[in-house]
Amino acid sequence: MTNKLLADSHLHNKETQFTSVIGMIILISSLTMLFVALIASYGVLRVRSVNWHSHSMSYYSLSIACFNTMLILFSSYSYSTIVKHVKALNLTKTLYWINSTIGIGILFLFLQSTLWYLLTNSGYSISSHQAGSVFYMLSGLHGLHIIIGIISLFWLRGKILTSDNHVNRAQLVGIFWHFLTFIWIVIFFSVIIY
Amino acid sequence: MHRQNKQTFWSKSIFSLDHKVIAKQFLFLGIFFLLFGGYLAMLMRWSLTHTMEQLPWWLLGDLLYQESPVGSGIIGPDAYNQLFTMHGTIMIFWAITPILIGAFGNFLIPLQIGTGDMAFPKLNMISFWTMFLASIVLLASYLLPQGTAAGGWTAYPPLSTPVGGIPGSGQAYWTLALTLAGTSTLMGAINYITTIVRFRAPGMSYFRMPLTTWGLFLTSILNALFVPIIAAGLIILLLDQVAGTQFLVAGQKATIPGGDPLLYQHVFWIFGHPEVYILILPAWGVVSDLLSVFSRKPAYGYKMTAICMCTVTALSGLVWGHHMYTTGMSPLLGKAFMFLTLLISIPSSIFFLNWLGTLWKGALKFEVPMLFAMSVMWVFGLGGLTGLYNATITSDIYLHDTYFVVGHFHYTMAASVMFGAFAAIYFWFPKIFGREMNKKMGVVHFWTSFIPLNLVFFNMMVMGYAGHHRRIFDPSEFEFLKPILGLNEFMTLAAFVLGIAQVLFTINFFYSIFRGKIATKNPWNAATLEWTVSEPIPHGNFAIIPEVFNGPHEYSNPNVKGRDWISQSEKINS
Amino acid sequence: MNFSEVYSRIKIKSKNQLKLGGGIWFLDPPKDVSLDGYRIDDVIHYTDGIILFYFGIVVLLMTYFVIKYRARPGHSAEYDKGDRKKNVIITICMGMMVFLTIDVVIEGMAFRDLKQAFWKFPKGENVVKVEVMPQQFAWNFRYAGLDGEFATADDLIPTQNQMHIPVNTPVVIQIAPYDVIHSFFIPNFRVKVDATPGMVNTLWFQATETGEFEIACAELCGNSHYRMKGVLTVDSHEDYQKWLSSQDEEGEPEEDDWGDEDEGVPTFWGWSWKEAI
Repeated sequence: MTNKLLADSHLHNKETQFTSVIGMIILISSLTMLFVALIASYGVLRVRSVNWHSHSMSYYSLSIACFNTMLILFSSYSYSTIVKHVKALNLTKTLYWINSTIGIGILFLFLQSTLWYLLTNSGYSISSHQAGSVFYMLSGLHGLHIIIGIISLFWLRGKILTSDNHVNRAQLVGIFWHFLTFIWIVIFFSVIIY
Repeated sequence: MHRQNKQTFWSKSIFSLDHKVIAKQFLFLGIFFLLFGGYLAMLMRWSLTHTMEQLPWWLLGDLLYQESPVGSGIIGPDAYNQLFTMHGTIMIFWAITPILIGAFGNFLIPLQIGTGDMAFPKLNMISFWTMFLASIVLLASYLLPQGTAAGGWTAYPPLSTPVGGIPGSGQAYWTLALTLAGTSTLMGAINYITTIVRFRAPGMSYFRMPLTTWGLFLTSILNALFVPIIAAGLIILLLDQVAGTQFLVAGQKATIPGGDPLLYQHVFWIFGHPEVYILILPAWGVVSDLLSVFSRKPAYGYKMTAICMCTVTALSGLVWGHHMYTTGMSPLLGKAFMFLTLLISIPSSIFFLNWLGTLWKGALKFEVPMLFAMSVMWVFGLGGLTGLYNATITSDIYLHDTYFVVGHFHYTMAASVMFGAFAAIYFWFPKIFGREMNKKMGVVHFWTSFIPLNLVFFNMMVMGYAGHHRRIFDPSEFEFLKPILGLNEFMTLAAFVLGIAQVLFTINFFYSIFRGKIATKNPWNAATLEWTVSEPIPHGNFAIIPEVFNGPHEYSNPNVKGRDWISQSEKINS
Repeated sequence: MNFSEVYSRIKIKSKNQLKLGGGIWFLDPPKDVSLDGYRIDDVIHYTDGIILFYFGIVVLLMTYFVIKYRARPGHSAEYDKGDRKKNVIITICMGMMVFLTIDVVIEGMAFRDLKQAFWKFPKGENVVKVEVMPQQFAWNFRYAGLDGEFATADDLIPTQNQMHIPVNTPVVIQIAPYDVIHSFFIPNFRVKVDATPGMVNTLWFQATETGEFEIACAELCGNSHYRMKGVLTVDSHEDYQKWLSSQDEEGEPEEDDWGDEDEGVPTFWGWSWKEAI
């Protein structure tokens, strides 16, 4: 492996880069509308309900959720480091941080599944009450998008190893990755904490 | 076929990245479902006039309803509910959307703005195959033992959840298929918007784009913003259907308290109302352009029309409550929705007047596409005006959920949108397939569609005004419906003629693909950029990216000598 | 500007007074036997007439254009883009004229009618109150009994598919369904209201004639939605009293009655009348 693969990325056409950014912005707008609609639905259900079972997660489950929140925040930091190293044409460090981010993503999903398992076994299931339904629905949908994000990271890793034009690609996947972090923060505070 | 880097069968036709091939794929899918959805309508009309009688051989009764619980070859009440559900769903999402937006959006946008392909060709291909997957899921529900979805195309919960009592998992398949279809549309929207924003040829400013492109552009913006909202609704509905949640279930049958059926209605119609504008905006654009081509005169008030289309697009997101006047919403909210809904009349009537202005003092050529384009004026005039009855809260109290609404939306959706699509197909067929469709058959198709269509759907409005409520398997149960039933026979006859006309069209369409007269490069002498390239259009469309000097409707310009048109990429020698 | 006030000056006394567009809808709606149904008929007829007027102009114009401006040798089109200031102003004015003569008028009529009638719920002793609970696939009607209070022991046993009301008396109904969404529609009264689970909706109307009239379900509710029929009998006052006294009382509620008070679902299938209206 040489750094030559990263060296060519500065030649990438600024015009086509901007085009893909526009495409990604439209995608993020659409996904925003999706999550806004779901969170607004949650809001409607909660406001209109007589008895909302908030704060009924066990402290142990809650701490897993908190840890996951910090993990995903760290993954955004980890991702930004990837971009930094791509720009600096440092292939070794780029790969190290991509692998780490993938690892963090997989760990996040693993801990989410553990959280689900623990909660379901303690009576906080998808069909025990509306709060449960909302939690599983939102965290599930978010998790599905994290899977897509991890697949994108594998794809990015493959591209870095085999071709050029990385900065743009890394930034595009980054928009999506950071968006997912943001969505999780919203879900965490509005559904789990509040 | 088209030259690409790789020439294998798979990459050339099945998994092609070329927008023109993908457009054809959407077109064939759309026409298939148009015929299938129309067939379902024929079954419904039969059932209404021959309730509980055995289907005749030419409606393939034995094939489909052999295992029918009410008797072999007989449509019963459950089957009838499945029919109107699937008819509505298929016509909207599997016929109109693939034809107008999938096929024509894909084919025309790059060509009309002067570029080589869509911004994201791979995404384009994936969008088609996602739609294909959605189609498989939808059609698979026909193989289920308990049948397909039966909750209406609107699928209101709790009826569409297990609590509602519709047997089997058809409803869940429906929800999944629709979610996949929406994903396909979203991918298309991302592509269309990015392509139009970024890839217009030099000189192709926004206000030099054909109005067809404007329609497709605005449709894509609405799609990008509002399809995710229905996706949200479908996700929570799907969870209610399969995961034991009760987001949308309340009342005595709810085991989890706190659900809200009305939430679904709001989410559904926040998408649903922009959806009807999504369907009609491309048709408006096509009609505006075609009226200009066949009047040999610029589209009257082009900029005004474009701005009106933008205004309608913006307003469309604010009016969804007019589908819910009878749900018991607060009076203030109801009034606000009524006011905003009525406001849409202003831009609509302005661009309708512009259509009239295009015809005025023109030199009208009554080619087949023109017949369809002019008929859109008729049917959209009627359809749009009859929307007023539903916009007004008081008249809507009586007319809501009657055949009046069915007549109204068939005029605006089935008639206006479909005739716009037919106009587009007849007009661009020479460019897509390099051959011409048979003109005589086209004229016959037009009249045998236009007249029966009016006979069917105008009479539906008459029935609705007489009080006939919707989704009724057997109207003979009610005394107040008895005077109306005679009309049913007449409407069914007209509907069958309408159906046969579409078979005629399909024969013309497929025959012409293989055996039609070879078309010249620009048989209509049209000014937009797609007519400057010869069939077979190469991959990449233009050998040299054109430079645009004129607007899209330079017909009968006195500065152009010797002919009554000049292309967008030709300089006018003044 | 208060549309209700402007349009309340248009005094409409008799039914079908505004049948300008009569004849487009060649089938008549069921006979209107309600106090305020004529308002709906009138706004529909006004809309008929004005639409006929404008659409008629469009059809005439199109016919004229088809003949006068057809392409023929010696005839060419005029190169007019319609984008001069004059054109824009005329077109916008024409659009506004359509808006003012149709939309603003029907909006005013609707606002007036909603304020004067449909949203003006009657109060007082003589108002007849009925609770309606549609289910798959029947209509249940509950009357309050002598004490005038719902959800008490002297409520009448709910009737199924039979509703009785006295003539010339305001009737207020509250409706909540048992299972899925239904819609209470009486064509002869021009009224309709949805019944959504988890909500209680209110509707009022008044009969002007005696007779039997059909109630239909106007929201798809399942495979027998098409025959979910109720009968509304409008009695004279004496006959209504006779009918009331012939009905049995419900008695004390059972232990296992439907619903659970804690979760906001009413205890009997009836609910305490919502007095907020």
